[in-house]
Amino acid sequence: MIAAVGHLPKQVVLRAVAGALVVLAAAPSARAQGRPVSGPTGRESRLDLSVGASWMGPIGQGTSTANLIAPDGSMLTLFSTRNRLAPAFGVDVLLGRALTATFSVEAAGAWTRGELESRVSSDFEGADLTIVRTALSRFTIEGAGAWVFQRRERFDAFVRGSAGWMRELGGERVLVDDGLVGTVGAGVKYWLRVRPSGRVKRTGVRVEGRVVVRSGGLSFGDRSAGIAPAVAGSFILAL
Amino acid sequence: MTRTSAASIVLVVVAFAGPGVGAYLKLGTEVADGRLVALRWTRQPIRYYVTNRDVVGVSAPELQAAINRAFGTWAGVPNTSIRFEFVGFTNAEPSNDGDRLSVIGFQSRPGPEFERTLGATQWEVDTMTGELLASDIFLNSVFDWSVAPGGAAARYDVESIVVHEIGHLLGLGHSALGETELQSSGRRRVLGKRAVMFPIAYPAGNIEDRTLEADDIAGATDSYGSGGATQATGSIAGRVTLNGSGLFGAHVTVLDTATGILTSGFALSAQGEFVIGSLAPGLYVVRVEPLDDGDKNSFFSEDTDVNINFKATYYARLVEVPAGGASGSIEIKVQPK
Repeated sequence: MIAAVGHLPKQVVLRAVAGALVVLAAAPSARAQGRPVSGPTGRESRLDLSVGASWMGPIGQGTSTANLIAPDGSMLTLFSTRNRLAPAFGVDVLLGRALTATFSVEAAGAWTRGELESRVSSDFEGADLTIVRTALSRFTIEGAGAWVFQRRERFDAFVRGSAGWMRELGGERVLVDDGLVGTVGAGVKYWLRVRPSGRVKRTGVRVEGRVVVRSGGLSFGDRSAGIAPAVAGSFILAL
Repeated sequence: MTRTSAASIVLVVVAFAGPGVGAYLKLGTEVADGRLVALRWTRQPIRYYVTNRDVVGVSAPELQAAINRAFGTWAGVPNTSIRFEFVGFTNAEPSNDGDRLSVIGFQSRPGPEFERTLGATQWEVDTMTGELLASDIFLNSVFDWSVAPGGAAARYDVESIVVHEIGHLLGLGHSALGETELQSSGRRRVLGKRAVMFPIAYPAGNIEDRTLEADDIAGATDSYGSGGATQATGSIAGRVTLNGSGLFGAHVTVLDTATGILTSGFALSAQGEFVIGSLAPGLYVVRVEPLDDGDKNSFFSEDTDVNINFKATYYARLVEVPAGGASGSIEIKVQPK
């Protein structure tokens, strides 16, 4: 028997070794998985790199009123504004590392482009209603934790929370302000391709919905905190 | 009641000052070498006398106390170097006669020229340097006055009117940050305002003008601000145009969207250029309106052509003001009425 093994073609031996490694790597993960989470052999990558786009909904920023003081001490409105951070689009980059079969940590960076917007109305002299804007760029760096709670043949469903720092710049780059940002959300990963070997073990897409909590940054006064819905989609390379 | 100042000739000069001059109406003069310079006190404290005459309802000591409070209001503007000193009571008249004394007090000035004038300010100016040497403020004793802490019905508040006149004493012109309506008598009634330096006073009994507004503070800071004020604040600069031409005298108002604070100024060149300084860093809404809420001559000289035939207009962008810097130059295009 030993002599027979020694006569196996070299290519067959290499495949067998590769298969053994995959099984060994999968074994601890398989033990750690809960009942709902299962998946085909060959999926257990340690690093995920995601690159994609995001959309963040508007955040109300309250109102400002240009008041004059009337002789009786009451306020006479010269004009008023309703302010918001308009919806913003951006680019996300995430690097995730699996700590267990179901839990991973992520480092995320994003650049978002939107607008600060002020709707001017109630002009004392009847000037036309006007919406005035300025561009807003937002850079964020976040740390996140994601937990896969459901795993199907090609789907991973997960929940995720993150917290981080942001820097916002006005459109003319003359105003810069920093703040904090956090998110909670849920999403799915759909694996388009699973390969048992090779540097890239899986490729897929990721879609998630988030609730973004933002504090500080460029804003209209003390209404700097706000909550907005967001959605993000990305392409994943699992290494 | 209007509060005209005796500065019409000086205002002409400021009106034609070139770009770079702050948009607050600062009084100025042409000095010996032909330069236009803003009127400004370079030697401080500014020493002043108070007339020792009583009027009905206000004794000389009460007058002095009210004037002292009014000076204190301006001296309290943060990041400025404005100091005053009461020297004593005097029998001198509060009319500029070349005595190099700054005198404040009541004087009776009846007649049509002053029938609507509660008070006025005059200056002695060094014509070589533009330095202010002395300034007199008169309060027209034809009217009824009060120094009551809460004001008195049908009586004008001494402290409120003196705060306004001290603004002139410091070299500030009028602000147009207010709305009025023309009455059948031909007089204008204040509907609302947000600057002590607005040329039309609140009705008798009102004490609102004891307190400076942001617009007044910006003007004082622009003239007497320290280096710290310059670094902490920024400015908005630009042009107002109508059919491509500059619009001299257009009234520009900016709203700090964070605080609701209003500040204003004027386009002060033939190209319609304006600069509004001493603004807190932040995002601003910029609005332009015609100068139609007061007598044009309260702001500029009679022979100055000010077009008021255009619509109130907003600049299409929010304007960012950085600390210690200026917004990019903006152009606000207005449409004719």
